[in-house]
Amino acid sequence: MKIETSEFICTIGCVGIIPLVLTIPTFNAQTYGTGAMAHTLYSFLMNAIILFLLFHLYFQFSNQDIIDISEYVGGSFLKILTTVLASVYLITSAVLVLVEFNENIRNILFQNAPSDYIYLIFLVGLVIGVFHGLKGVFRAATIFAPLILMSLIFMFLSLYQDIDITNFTPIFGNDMFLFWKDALKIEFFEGMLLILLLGNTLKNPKKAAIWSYLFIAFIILLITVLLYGIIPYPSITENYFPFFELSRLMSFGRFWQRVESLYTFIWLIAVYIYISIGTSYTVFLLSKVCHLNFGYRIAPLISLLVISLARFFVSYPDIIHTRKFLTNYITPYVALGYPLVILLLATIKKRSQIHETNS
Amino acid sequence: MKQTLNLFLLLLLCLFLTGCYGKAELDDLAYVIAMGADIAPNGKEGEIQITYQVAIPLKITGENNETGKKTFTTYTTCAPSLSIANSQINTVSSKKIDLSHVSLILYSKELAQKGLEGHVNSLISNVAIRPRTIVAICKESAKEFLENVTPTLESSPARYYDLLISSFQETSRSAKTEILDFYTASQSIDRVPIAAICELNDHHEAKFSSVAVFRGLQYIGELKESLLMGHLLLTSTFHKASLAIPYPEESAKNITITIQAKQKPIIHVTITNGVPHATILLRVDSHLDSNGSSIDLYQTKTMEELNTLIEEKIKQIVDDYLQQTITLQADSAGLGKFAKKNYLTWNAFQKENWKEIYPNLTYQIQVESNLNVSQIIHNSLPEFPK
Amino acid sequence: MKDIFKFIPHPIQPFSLKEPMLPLKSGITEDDILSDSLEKNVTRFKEIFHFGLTSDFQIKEMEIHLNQQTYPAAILFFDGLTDTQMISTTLLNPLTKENFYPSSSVLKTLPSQELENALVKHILIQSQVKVISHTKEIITRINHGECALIVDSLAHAILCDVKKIPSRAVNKSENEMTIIGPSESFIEQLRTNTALIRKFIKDENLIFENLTIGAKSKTNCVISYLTNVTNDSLINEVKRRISSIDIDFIIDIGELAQLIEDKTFLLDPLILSTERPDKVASSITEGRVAILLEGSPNVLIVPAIFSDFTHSPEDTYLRHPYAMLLRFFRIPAILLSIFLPGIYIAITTFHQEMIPTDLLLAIAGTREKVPFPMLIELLIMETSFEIIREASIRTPAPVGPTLGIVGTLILGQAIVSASIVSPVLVIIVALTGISAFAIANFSLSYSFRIARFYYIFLGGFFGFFGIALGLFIHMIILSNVSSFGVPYLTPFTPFRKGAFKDDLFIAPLWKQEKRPIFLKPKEQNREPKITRKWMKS
Repeated sequence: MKIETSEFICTIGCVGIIPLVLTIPTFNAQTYGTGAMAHTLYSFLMNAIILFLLFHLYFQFSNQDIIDISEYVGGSFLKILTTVLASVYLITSAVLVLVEFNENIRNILFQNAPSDYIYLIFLVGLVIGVFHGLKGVFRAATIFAPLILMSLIFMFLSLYQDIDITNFTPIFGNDMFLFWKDALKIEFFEGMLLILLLGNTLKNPKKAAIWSYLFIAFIILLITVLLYGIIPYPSITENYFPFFELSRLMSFGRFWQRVESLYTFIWLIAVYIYISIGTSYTVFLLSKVCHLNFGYRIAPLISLLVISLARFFVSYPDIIHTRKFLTNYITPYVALGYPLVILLLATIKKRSQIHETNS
Repeated sequence: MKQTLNLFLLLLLCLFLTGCYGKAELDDLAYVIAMGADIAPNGKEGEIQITYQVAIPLKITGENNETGKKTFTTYTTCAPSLSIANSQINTVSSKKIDLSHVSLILYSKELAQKGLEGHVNSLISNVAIRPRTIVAICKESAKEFLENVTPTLESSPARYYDLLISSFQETSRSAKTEILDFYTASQSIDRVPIAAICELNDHHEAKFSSVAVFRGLQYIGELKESLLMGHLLLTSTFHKASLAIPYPEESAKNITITIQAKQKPIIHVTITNGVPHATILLRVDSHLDSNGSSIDLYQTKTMEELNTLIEEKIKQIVDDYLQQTITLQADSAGLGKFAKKNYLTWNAFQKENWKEIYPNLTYQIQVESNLNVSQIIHNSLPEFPK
Repeated sequence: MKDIFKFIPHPIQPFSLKEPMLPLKSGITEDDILSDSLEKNVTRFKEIFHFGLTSDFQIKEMEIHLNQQTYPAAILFFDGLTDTQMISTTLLNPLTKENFYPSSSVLKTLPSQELENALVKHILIQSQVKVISHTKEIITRINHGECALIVDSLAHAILCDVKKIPSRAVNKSENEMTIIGPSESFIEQLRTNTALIRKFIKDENLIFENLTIGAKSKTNCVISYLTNVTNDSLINEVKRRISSIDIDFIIDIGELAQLIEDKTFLLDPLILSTERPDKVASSITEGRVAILLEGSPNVLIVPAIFSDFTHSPEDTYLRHPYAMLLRFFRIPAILLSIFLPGIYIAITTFHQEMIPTDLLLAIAGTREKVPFPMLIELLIMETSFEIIREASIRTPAPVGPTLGIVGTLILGQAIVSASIVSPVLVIIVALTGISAFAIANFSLSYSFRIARFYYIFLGGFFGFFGIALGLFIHMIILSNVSSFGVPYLTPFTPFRKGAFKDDLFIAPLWKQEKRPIFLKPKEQNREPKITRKWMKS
């Protein structure tokens, strides 16, 4: 069963709105001030370059995923290291998203509910999602992605009049040096790195890479323009749920106001897809590496693991700090640096092998 | 497989049995339509008097409902914060107070003069309060206003406020001041917040006129009602206004013109040596409403003359408006926003200290009007014998 | 083990409670053949068919006159399944009158081979005559309404098709009504049904392949497809599933559908069942397989995807703009019938801020006197609606309108004026119910009715969070299901070209060039690029 390009792009689209819904635009605003918008565009460019490099290297090894490649480079040690890193990374991001959403949900919908209650509801969806496997989640995402895209476009149409271009200026924001220094904000395009893990399960990885990049860039652009354009700089840094705030601003006349609940619906679906992808991919990886024939049987176990890890986080500042730490110090190295190194090594090895056979 | 299924059923059962947090029956809630804040009459520090105007659904939908009757009730309490006020009022009110439908937030002028720090913040951080809720300053006490206001044409107070506030589009004598905008302006360094001013007339009808200007979150003054058109024009929120132009030859009689916004104002602001300079270009469409004079407007020359008069009139209004903001030392038009683009970083702009240098503002206004005289046909008919 | 049930020939079985009487037929093996003695054979069949016990089985003994000789013979048939008029004209009359057959034999009595020839080729004026010697097959054929002729000295029976199985005439389709287009519907007779299909597809490649289901009922089942279009693996899969069914009796095609569908517990139907020959014909031309069963006025179409259930045959008969209009309004109908009550309860109990203030106050005003919580109120209304709907199907036709009036008008009016439910809720439930009727397929509307209750509970307990959870699970489950190897939500997920052109909306007839891609037909194109050649000339 191959994953089709359209399925992949749609899934990445669903996953792509997660950083928007989370606090990443706020972090950017805190760091770059009014330059956040310009920096987003700048990081699009830089990300495109680095991702092009990464995928260019990767596509030399067709029909192989990063785990096979690391096995090729460094034997079973690297294979296991990569698997562990990937699983830990996937689970961590799933956990963090879950924790943050739990907090948000409790703030918005269930003010008096204990956090375990929300986790329980998440768990039900998660286990069913994971139980049906990657394929199921990818397919379901194909249904939801157009829905999400349409709702985002609807949001843009209803709010674009409020955009004040002067909010994008001064164009370099807080600090010129800082602006140019942090070029790689990979967290927007995190989802694209799934291509490395999917290997030959993906039908047309090249097409998938290009289109998913464009899709995510479009979504991010649509919303960040609204966000930075409508809420001016000093106030936006206080907002830890900017996407929700935007949906609260929407109004079409006197009748169509207060549609943010509909948007909670949209991002809840996105969250379900995100955590299901993360968890079910971990299941997939484990069953691949450990040669499990009935991988789906460990699905409830891994889901429970995700939920129980999420329960370790208690306070909201904790979560924010962890996320900041992760986005600044872990993600660039684990999600981008590590595969890049592996691919470079593999390329060198391959080249030298070809050289040897030729001579 | 079967075990997993059973586990699931158990889980689902848990979910359904643990109760429904956040659930509230729609008719068990008391919907606050407007809320007001005054200085606490007991004079306690850190307390304010909060008044909720709660709609009574039965009176609104009831069979023998009439307009001009009170379809709401008010609850008043003194509390240090919103949530405490809620719980205090819930002891009196049988239904649970729900703030998600508040469409008007009133502060009394007295309270605003003391400063609204803390109050606005708590409203902004409250999920129930909409960011687009109107914030207004009440000339008398907010409690009195909310208790006595009587909509004449509507039975639902929510619709009354909504329609009344958005009438500024027709009149250009007030402004729509939303709480999010009010708050972000108070935080920003390039403009100051404004809030609409409301009062009750003799028939207990609410009247929105003019706006109050703040510095930070403290009330510092009020703009003249007649100059508000200038404010709306500069903040590109202008829709429509009527102007009476006295024609020089027959100054006793007026020509009435309706002005409509044509495009957003083009504003450039530069700061040289601490002196800001603004160039403003306003483009409007004008329509002839009525011609009370006997002047034949069919002549191209007269039309051009009239157009110049309109342009000058608008220019005068904007000029007066800017002069008043300079006197108040508050950039209510938000001209500072346009200065930002000349700077590369935020710090560089911050160093200029816009709010301090604003009173030194020099400006140059240019108005381009496009007079539409299609109605003139009527006037070209022979006059009726007097 | 099987030997225990072997046939033990003794005429009267002693009755006992402990040992139930074993059916005689079970003792007949595949290779039992007739003997050449008429007396023996007749006695045997009398036993087998419980002659005397059952009243409709008839044995008529007679003599055949041939070449001035008489041959004792007997005919066996079920009265009622056969056409007695036809038996007398095509069997009794020719057999009993004096016949002459030019024999090569010198003997007076004809040898058995020649006798058989004389009977089959010369005397019996019948289009379907078969000579069979296996007892079991003879029994099956008699059961199916054929008439067996046994002649002394012949170890074969001659079976004539004189079926006249009682059935009704071809009627108007009542359950899948359209305004435009053919309105015939299938009936209970298999041959009529195949004829109805062949009437639309006059093509030699249209195959009606016979299969038998039911170890005891031996019900005829026909699968129909176009050999030059339909994918072979699909045909083989259908055959594999049907032929592997091990069941005693099968009455209706609904049972067959349950036995061959992919998922039993799924809410949504995976096999399309229709009573319209035109729908079956157009499905076959697309490259699908139709399954017909004897005695069933419905035909199954496999594989079926979700969007098939939302289509009506009328869509292609109508002009394009009208068909677009129908398809366009079917989408909100589907969404409303699943989600409306769930969303209503979610909004009114969790997201009151979403309702416009004026509307909210209006709803709150009408609910002021209602004693029940919203969820209970909705459940009362939904349940009574479902009961009224179920009752209206079972009501005898003359009482039907009365029920409609009592159920909808009086009950609805009374329930509101008694303040048991609020008027807004009546509107919601009525709108949902009406939307469900706008769905073209009846079994799909069943699934929506069930799903609606899920969403009511999810919305009532968790608000939009619950509905999001439900939708996520719903979609995950649906997108993982396939009907005969075709993913259920196929043109949408996995996405295929033409999803919006052919499935969500409809393209003009001259633009529907390709057969559905997911069926992988042998011929992809059903019309050339230019269909309307007159446009070019």
